[in-house]
Amino acid sequence: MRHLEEQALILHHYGEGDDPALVERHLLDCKRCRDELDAIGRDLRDVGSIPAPERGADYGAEVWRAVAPRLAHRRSRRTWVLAAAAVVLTGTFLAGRLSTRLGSDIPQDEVRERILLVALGEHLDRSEVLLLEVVNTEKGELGQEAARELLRASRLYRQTAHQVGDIATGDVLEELERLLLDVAHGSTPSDTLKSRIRDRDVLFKIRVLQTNFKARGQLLAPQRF
Amino acid sequence: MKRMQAVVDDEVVRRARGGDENAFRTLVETHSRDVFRLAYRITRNEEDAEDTVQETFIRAYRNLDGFEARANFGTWLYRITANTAIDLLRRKKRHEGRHTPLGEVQPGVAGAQEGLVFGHQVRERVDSALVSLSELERTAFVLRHCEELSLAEISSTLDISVSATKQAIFRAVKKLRSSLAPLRDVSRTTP
Ligand SMILES: [Zn+2]
Repeated sequence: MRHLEEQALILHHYGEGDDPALVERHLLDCKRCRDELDAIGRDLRDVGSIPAPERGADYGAEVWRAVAPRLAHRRSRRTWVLAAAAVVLTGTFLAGRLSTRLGSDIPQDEVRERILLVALGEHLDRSEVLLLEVVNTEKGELGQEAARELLRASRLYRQTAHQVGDIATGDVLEELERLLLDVAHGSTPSDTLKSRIRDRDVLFKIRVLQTNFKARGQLLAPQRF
Repeated sequence: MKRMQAVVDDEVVRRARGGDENAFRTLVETHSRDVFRLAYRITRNEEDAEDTVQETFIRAYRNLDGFEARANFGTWLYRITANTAIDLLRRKKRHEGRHTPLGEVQPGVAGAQEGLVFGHQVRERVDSALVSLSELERTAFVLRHCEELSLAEISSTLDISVSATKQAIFRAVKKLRSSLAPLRDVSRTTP
């Protein structure tokens, strides 16, 4: 007689066998497999419930206290969604361009937030390029026009960030704004400007923000974009 | 342990998804103990279990949008817990080539109650066998044996095929059984 394999008996024990009726029929006729199934049952009973230390009734509150301060990320993300509409209005060209790329089955909130994230991302990219140019070129007057344009957008984003309580983003945008203002005025000596950009690590902070925005963007339907 | 006992009000989850922090707080307070128990069974270490609990709720919070209303919140949270615990163990292993000292393992409650040397021996052997399992084997086994999830549920929880799930459980059961085998030969004379 061909006996049942241990694997089949384990599955049977857990009620997950492919063909329970077949196993039952075999077990009726075969003491050896019945004994083996009993042994499996006994061993797994001895394994038992795998004890874990109990936590007290107030454990949930304790966890909440530890976790709550670390939840800011999503909170600001949600509020950014709400604020997104206002910002997007100022960049309808972006909305138009993106809505053709995004499927129509995506919730409006998501579309709006992604448009905002993309717009902010592009803004940071352009600001980064400009600041790099300032750091790397000899002449000071470079990019005044571009800086003025970026300054207007940066103010808007910074106000939005502060409105929704996204302090971290707001602070970086504020620093960026100050530098853009310097560049736009063209009155700050080139060397002073360069060392301001370097000393405050603004480029690094911008990159961190960009990474965060990218991560947020990926959280919203990563496969569709 | 059985499945998550708490029946979570759909409304609470819905409000939490809408950004209501108090609603999320309710979810944390309701599920923390169950999440801890599962995390402990997978990590076999209180500190790691605590870290897993916190990380689980943070991940859950960030991914609430990905939670489908049709799903059970507890099951969804278990999925995050199991994966968070596995990630944590793998991260630790990479960092320190980890071996849990057996002394860390809690003595079995059931064994202690019986007060039998045999019970303690079983518990000790089971514990050391559990430690010797891979993260995946242990998690799949715990989800089947303690949480009574179906193979299909485990496979989707761990994002592996059903046959890989079966293999993980088989390997776990085999290792557990062979750790108990020496006791069986002795106990045969004393039923
Ligand atoms: Zn047989």
